[in-house]
Amino acid sequence: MKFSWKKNNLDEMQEQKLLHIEKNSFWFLYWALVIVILGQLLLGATPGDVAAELICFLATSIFMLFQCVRNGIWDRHFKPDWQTNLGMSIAAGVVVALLQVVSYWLEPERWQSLERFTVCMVFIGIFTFITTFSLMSVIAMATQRRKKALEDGEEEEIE
Amino acid sequence: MKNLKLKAARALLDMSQKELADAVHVSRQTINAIEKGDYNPTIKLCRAICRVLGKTLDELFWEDDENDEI
Repeated sequence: MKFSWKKNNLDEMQEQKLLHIEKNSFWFLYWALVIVILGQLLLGATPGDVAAELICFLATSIFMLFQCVRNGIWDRHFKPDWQTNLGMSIAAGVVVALLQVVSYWLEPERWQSLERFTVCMVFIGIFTFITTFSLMSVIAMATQRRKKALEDGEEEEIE
Repeated sequence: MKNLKLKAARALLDMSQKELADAVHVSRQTINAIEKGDYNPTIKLCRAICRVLGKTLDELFWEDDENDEI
């Protein structure tokens, strides 16, 4: 069996197809991991119980985020503006609040009363919204700055 | 859009898809996909194909209103 890191057995079309397959597989794995983590947490696992999954998920997410900012890339469809940040932050807040509702539905005895649960749910939803909006605003600004720096780069002289 | 110019140029030299593929160091399925119009090759591969077939980029890959590509 011959193996070499330097030699590529694929031609350019096969390489593109493999990249496409890897991309689809990555996103499947990424969202499956999210579902597994949320499922375990909703079924009563503590964050410590899913620490390995959380570390993998956060490391991947932070790596992707860092690489996107470094290359001045935000998103294929959305622009880095306040409307996007607002919409996504509201969605994040609502999703987290809904997860709390599911958690209450699964284990109502964890909460002393419905009033207490409602206050917690609203607080967590608002906290998520504020945190997401703040982080997205900072990252959007960094991405735009980086994009501008890349666009304004010096043109190489031809000798 | 099929690339019939490439197919014709290859046939003129009596070359099979496999022979052309070997000459430009790609797989036969890649040459087949280019001829069928399923894959847009990089400029590097276009140049390699032109060199082997003795044609220019314009002759094989330029598209205009009256070309023979379907």
